[in-house]
Amino acid sequence: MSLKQEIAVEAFVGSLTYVPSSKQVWGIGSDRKIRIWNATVRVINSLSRHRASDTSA
Amino acid sequence: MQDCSLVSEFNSTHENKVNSITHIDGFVWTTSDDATIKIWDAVKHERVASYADFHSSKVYGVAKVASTVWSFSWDRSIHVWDAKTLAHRERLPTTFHDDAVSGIVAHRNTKYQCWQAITSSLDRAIVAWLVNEAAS
Repeated sequence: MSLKQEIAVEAFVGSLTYVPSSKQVWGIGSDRKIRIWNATVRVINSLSRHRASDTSA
Repeated sequence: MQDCSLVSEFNSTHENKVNSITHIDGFVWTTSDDATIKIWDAVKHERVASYADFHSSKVYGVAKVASTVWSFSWDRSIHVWDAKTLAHRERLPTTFHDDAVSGIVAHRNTKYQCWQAITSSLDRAIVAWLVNEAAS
């Protein structure tokens, strides 16, 4: 796991939700404003697949 | 890679602390200490509904249960909404929790072949509900 991006927000964001269709994240701030961010990222790492034959290793 | 750029910022129009923001089936639901629930179009970013006459106190959040949305509140009540039409359906019996309802989680129960909702409360009780989808 690595930090991809840090975004400064002018308010404390207490709750987030993800909208898959638009790949956007909605957040609600302590200032009662709704903020929407793009959340399109690419996968940079993938976990290796383990097979039954690998369990002896 | 695309940056996580800010797309939009607007006032929720809630008059007090906003407790939750939850995407359900194309709509975003916000709940607040002002006892209201507001619903937003997830694509157009426009408010499509605002309900102020159902909960009498802080609304903590919502959860999807089958084809419905359940809202839960400090007022001990759970209200049920249609996830598509956003219309109010019913208020669940309040005999099960003696204090504020603090959380809801739902899943498909494979044993009973129906949805099951679990509600938690400040009364220290957890209540399991089986949802009759034919009636919901």
